[in-house]
Amino acid sequence: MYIGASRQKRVALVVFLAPAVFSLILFYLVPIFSSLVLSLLEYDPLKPTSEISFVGLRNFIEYFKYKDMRNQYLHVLYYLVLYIPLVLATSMTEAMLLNRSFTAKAAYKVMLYLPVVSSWVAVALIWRWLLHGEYGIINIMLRAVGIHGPSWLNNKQWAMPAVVLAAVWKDTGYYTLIVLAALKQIDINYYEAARIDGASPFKQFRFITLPLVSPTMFLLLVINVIAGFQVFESIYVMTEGGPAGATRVPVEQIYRNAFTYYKMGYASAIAWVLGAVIIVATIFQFQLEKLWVRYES
Amino acid sequence: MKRTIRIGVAILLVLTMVLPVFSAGKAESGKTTIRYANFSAGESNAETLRKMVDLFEAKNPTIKVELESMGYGDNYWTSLITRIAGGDPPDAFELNMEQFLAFTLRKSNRALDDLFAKTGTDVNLFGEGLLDAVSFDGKIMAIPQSFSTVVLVYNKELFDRANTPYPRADWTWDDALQAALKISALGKDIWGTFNPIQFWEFYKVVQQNGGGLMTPDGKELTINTPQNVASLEYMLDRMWKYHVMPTVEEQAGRPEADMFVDGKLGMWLNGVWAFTDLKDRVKFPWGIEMEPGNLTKATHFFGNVGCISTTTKYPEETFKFLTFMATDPDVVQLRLDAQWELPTVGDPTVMQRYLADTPPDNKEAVLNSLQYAVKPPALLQFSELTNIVNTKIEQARDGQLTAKQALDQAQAEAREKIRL
Repeated sequence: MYIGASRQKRVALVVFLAPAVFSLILFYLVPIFSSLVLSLLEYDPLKPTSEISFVGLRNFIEYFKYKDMRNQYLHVLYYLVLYIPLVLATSMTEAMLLNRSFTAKAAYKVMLYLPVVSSWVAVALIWRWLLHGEYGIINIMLRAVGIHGPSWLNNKQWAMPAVVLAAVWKDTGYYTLIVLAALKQIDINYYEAARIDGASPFKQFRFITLPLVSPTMFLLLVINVIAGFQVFESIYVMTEGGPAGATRVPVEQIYRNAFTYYKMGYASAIAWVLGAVIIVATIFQFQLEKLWVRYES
Repeated sequence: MKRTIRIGVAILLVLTMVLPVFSAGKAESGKTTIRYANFSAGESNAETLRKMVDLFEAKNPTIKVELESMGYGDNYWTSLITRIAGGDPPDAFELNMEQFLAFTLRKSNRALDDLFAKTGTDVNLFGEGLLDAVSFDGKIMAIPQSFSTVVLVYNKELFDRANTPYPRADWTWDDALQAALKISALGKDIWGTFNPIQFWEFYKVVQQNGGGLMTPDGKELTINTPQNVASLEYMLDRMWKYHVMPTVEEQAGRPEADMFVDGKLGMWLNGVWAFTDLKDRVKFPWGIEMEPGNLTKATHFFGNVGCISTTTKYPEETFKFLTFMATDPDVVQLRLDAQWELPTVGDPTVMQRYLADTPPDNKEAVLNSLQYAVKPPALLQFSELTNIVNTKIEQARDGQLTAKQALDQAQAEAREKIRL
């Protein structure tokens, strides 16, 4: 990229970048590295600062010994396994639908995007009502076809799928837009050629659409795995980690240790372990990338 | 020249942004501003709280109170803890009993004895035992603002239909169970009783059965003693064995208050704070009684207290405000009118006014319950203990563990994590 030789341009560059860089340093990098320092301390935020002590790796050791740690990661994996295929499938379907023209498309788009801009608290309220064991519309509909639905959010087996359902509903609109942008990039001539050769719509999807949107799907997969490991808000407002700890996840544990148990150092250690897990998962996905992602050259 | 003007403007802009930081405290013409973070007013009593503060400001024209109100669920604790850790605590903050112990053990609030002496405030203004409840190592650490107890609320209509006498103050677990069985027999989705199965309930029930979570000297955890296992079994039996209380599935997310209002619960344990709501919504006759015990009685006591930050620049003004909010006769009347828990003043006529306000009848049960009030243990890691025990109890509630397994596991985990 040509930045420009004149001094004025360089000044402009600094001025325009400064706020972003400044806030990145102040609100991301400094806290991230402070938390690394914190993870080596025993730090109770309510106690006087004179009582802060250095404990080395004790917080990490304690966390690795923690029996429920494995369960919490299993809960996250369960969430990811349910959420990612579902959200990718719904985004793809919706994007393909929006790639055609039909009446009231604008209104449909608005409705699809509305959950994205709604707050999780409001979404949780709606879904808790929909999923209500007795009066929830989902169970009423199930009852109409003779199925006795569970008390979703109070049931150990069903609480996580219920959260996933709400999360997919909320997030689909956002990812649809990204997939839609990718679909629009595909040269229409490919489809025409395929049609002339007699390819069915399924084959067109399988051999043209899917390979050509695969870089976008890869991007979505990566960001969803990263976000999925950090799932918290949806779970906190819908189940608070219950019933009986069945939806407890690592970020909830960070929050709980920091603000309920006042163990900031330990909470920071959990955060760093989670960060490491996410980095490993992301590297792993990049390793697999070449197996299925196709870049147009 | 242009450059100088530009620099001048930039400095001015920065100053206008930064200066307000230093303006807290004394502002307009020698007026002192104190900040009060609070949660218990919530939405329902926000207006009452505002009126109380207006009264204070009218009587103390040199002090201005900035209210920082949040709801209990709106991350009140998170924000308060962050502010204390960040070195910018409000001058006064409200805590519940559980958090009061946590904050006091961590020295986040100031001892008030010198302020009592300096301002000549009479300790006898407060109800008997209430200042003891907020004393720690012989020092008064907070001003009790309000308190509440938990009583047995019952549906008289269901008792009549089941042909069972109403609860009495001397009832034991077994009396309550017999009545609950008869009421549950009245029909499907009619339940004799509702007692939540969670840590707070467990912690009290074990004391009714002569148990406890720690040895009296506080040196050893005793979560899985035989009495405690028997207590948890009794709590679970109501659900799984006798079926006088709905399981989580059967309750299906319905709030207990709604189930009571809908006439589906015979007996229900709840705090005095529920009376206002019940008065408005319940269409059948209802009553209250002291909670049944077993070997002995034990009841819940909840209180909200006002604390003063260790770093406030205006301890006297803040103390004056908190004392006013607890004891001023007009404020007390506002609290009574709003039925916003119970005032903490010792004046017997105040309590008489409270007792006279019916329904429910037999409000003496509220005050009598105070005699058997049990306090949570003062433990640095209390929240963590709560969570460890609660998770296991919930697993027992959902049929994944027996009472004994749950408490054995809780004891093992707590022993590993809780430093006594």
